[in-house]
Amino acid sequence: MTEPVYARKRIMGNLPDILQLLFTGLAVGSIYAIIAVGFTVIFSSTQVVNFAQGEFVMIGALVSYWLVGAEHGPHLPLLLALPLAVLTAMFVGSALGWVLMRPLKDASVTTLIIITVGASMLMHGIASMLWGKDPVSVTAFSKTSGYSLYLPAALTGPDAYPVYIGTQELWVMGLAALIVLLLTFFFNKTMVGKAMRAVSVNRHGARLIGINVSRMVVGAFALSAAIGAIAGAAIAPISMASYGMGTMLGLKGFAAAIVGGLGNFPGSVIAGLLLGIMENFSATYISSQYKDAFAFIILLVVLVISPNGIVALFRRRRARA
Amino acid sequence: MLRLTSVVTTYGRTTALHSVSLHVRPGEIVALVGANGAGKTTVLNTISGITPAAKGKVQYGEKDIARMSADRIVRLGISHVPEGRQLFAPLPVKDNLLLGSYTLRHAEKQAHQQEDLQRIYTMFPILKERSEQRAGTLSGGEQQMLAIGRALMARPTLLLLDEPSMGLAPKVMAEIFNAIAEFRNHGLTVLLVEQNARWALKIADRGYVLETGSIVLEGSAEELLENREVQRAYLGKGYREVWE
Repeated sequence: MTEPVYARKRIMGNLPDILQLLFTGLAVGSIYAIIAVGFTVIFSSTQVVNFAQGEFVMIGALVSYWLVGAEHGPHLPLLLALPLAVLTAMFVGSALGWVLMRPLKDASVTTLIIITVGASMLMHGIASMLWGKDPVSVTAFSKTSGYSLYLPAALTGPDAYPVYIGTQELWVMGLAALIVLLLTFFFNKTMVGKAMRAVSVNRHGARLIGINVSRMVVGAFALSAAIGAIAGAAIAPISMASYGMGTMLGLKGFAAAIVGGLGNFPGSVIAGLLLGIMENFSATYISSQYKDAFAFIILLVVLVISPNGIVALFRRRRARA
Repeated sequence: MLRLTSVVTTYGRTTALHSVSLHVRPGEIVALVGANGAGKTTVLNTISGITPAAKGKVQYGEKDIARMSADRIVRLGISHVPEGRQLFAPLPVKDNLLLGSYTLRHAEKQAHQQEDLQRIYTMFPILKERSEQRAGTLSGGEQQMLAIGRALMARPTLLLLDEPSMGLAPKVMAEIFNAIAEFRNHGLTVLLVEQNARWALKIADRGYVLETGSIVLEGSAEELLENREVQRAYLGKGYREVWE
């Protein structure tokens, strides 16, 4: 016979673990979310899935590493290095957008998508020559590395671990939230943002009212590269930075974008966060060796159940009720 | 004000326009009539820079606009109300209208945007009523009104209208054609493409008849309405003459 108090203690004894996983999962999820948003920005204005999205993340991470902490680098303060890293990525992003819109403007979407795969490999290769193949550790944004949060002993029992709240994780979440807020404002309240949406919903109509569509698309690439670079600079102190980091992050962000319903802005954010949390829990409770596989298992399951993403699933439910 | 000289437009290997020449004088309403596939829409797309001319000249005022990009042509004062309206369906009616003035300079926008918006709302009161609704939820007639309103927000001097009557009930059509006839009093010049030749020639000053990519007839609207060939082919009159 189990005493009820004991049962409660056993569940609550796991509370710090659960909160810990939730916290770190949310941080990783924020990164997936903003990468997914980057996919969304480009997809909705061009119908192109930009497989070089992950490389923008890598550029953000490695450039900010070089500017701040590298041995032979200029040792700039972070406040200066971050905007420079973002600008570098924006430059590369605009160049990619320009190539897709100008010399290749008559190519089919499939061709353009394959070109982004090629661009991704090119950036990958250049980065491995510039920075070498070894991962580098990157200085965190704040000096304090984190805080231990002790839950009340009444809840968890006397000898429970504290929950560790890392400051870099807080930075990641804060920046992600800021990006989502700014983008929402940009697309709903500013004329340029609305013009970008106009291009995405009806390109022909947009040309007719005098919007320069190719300039808008280059703008979308620059914006998406900036978002990716911020994600990269923010995650680098947690995950280390290397020339290859963009591939997996890009694919996970892509999975989140698909799960959220490609082109669906709030869907991407929610899916990114959920993906981060689920990945973290399954790595701990199921198997950490298959950590990377879980994102794609989730992707497959969602695609089978609801090919238009989870948000569409909820919408259908609500409509039926 | 607008003059096309021997314009040839091609889509890949197919030639859509064979040496089309026409002109529009300031303050006129000019109708361009013809059957399906005659190239009427291509004429408008060539003028507005969507499918630039392969050969020939498109002069607007003093400028040759044949190879100018679509957005610069809008800035010069030519607005195009396209076939199928091409609205921004998920955006509210009001945003569709405001995006119409996208090409205006900041100072111009400050000075005129609100006033223009109110003018369009007076012209088509239903748009004011539905200003917060998504454009995609409007009826066909309302969408046509919105497309015209959006084009007017760019403060054009020349308006290109492509099939404004398409798919509309006669009553709604009358409302839209009355509005177009009114544009003359606001100093607006109109080039109107229509399959419904009777309606178009009724409000037009002059007209052109386009057949398989070439102009086959031109004249004042009255002349064209009286012309037997036009009556037979486009106005559905005089079948008997053919059979007799």
